[in-house]
Amino acid sequence: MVGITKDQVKHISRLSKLSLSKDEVNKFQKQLGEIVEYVRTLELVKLNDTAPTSQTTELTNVYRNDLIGVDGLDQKSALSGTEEVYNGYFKVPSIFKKV
Amino acid sequence: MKIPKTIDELQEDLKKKKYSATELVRYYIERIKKYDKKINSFLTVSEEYAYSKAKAVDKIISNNKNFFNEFPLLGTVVAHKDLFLTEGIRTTAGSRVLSSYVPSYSATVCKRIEKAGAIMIGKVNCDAWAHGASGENSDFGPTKNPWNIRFVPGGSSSGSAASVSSGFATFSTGTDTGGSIRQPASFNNLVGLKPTYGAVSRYGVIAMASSLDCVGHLTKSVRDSKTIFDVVRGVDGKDSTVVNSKFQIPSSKLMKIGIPKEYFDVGIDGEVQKNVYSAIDVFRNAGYEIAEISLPHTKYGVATYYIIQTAETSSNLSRYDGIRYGEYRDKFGDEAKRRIMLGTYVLSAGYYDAYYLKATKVRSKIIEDFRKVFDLEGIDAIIAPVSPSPPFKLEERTDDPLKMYLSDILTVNASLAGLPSLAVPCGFSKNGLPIGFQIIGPKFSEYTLFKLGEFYQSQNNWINKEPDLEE
Repeated sequence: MVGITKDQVKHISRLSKLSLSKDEVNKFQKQLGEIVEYVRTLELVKLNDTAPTSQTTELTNVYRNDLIGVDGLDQKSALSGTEEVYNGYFKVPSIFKKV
Repeated sequence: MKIPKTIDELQEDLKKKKYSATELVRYYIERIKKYDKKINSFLTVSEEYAYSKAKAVDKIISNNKNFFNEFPLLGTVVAHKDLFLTEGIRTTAGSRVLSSYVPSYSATVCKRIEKAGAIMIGKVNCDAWAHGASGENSDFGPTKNPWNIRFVPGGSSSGSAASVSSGFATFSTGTDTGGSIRQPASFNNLVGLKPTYGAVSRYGVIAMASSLDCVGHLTKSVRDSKTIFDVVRGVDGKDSTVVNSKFQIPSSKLMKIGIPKEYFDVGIDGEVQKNVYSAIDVFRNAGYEIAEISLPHTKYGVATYYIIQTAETSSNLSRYDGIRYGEYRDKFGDEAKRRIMLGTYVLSAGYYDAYYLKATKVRSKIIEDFRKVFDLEGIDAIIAPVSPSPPFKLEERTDDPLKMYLSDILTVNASLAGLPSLAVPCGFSKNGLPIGFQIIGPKFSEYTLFKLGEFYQSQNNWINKEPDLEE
């Protein structure tokens, strides 16, 4: 059983910007461990020199003309999803502590 | 008032003035008010909006009866999965993170459907962020299966399926990343289309796993599915994966249909097997050539899918920071947390090669399997079950995420390969629950799938069966 450790759960929750309670850490350790164990069945596939596939369109470098779109969002619409506005800007939580 | 099941009949009624579009909307709204407490398919009913659109439609009809040619969906009533942005109308993705989010623009598909004359009646429930195979991961409560409310309607397009099946709308939109249109369609006696990856724009549709997400729709008839596909497909300049492809012209000869043995080897329920074999017999008896084929990497589909999909999900959901719109990340439900963390894990330093990179290579093997049967063995289309079981009971799989993931075993492979697949109803289990099969084809073979589906539907009357909501 390879599974996943509690410390790994805490580590990936930090990377994912999710804060977990102690109970959640226990619950997710078990559930994620089972899933990780299951997906390891891929080790049985003979791959040799198989190339990876990241998308299926067979397209590369799709460009559009470099023009300003006429149907973009104006400032008012762009800010319509938040009440935390200051002088036409998004107000964000501070990331530095006051000293 | 008897509401017809298909777009053609509905438009015929409107032409003959059997009822007006306004009366039609009132009929649907009254049904929703009467029955949807039990089903929980709608998150938002846009009553006022629907009546104002209906009025406009009635005006168009009274001025010129030939408008149906210009507006192929004129007078039809649509419910959008709550993953589709609708300007001015709340869009939640089934998650508390977006419980009060009102978009300032609409998805391309919603715009095209509206421009074709359809009337939006509201936004329907789904598993939060389209994560699920039962509808039970919605933060706004599970949707129930109208054929028996103790059972799940399937997911993630749970409300899309339950609303059309319940007679609350003419058709609905959905998204299918690993089976989220096909499985609920088949759990509700409906037709569900997952188009070729790149056939329909995802602009304005909340992203889950970007190399897999497809936008499609749920209808009662295959013919309606085709009518809507003609409206929504094609380049919009806002989703760079979309191409105006040359679609395959369906062969006029009797086609060769492949039956993949691996799809029947995964512990298929006996009744599903029986019904799908009967459907295959319909084609055989009509003279179609039926050949057993092998897609040897089928059994690795779920593992491959749950690595690639969660990796992409973790990236897409990282944009929800609660600053520009929506709530903070503590409002994510358990399933979103699991997928974000699993995706972060398979992409993280030290694990990337063992999980993510490996899965992308197995994906190539799965694509190769399909290519072989279509290109080398001369198979025109593949027929297989959609779900290994008929609809299952509510709460039967909620405690075991892995068991829930395995519900996708027959749908994820076409998704990984970017192929179109059409789910078609093929009868009922002994206790009256719907069962469906899927027709999978090569890329951009949608019209071949429609031709086969239309033929099958002409050979039975499943479309006329309706759930009893009074029960």
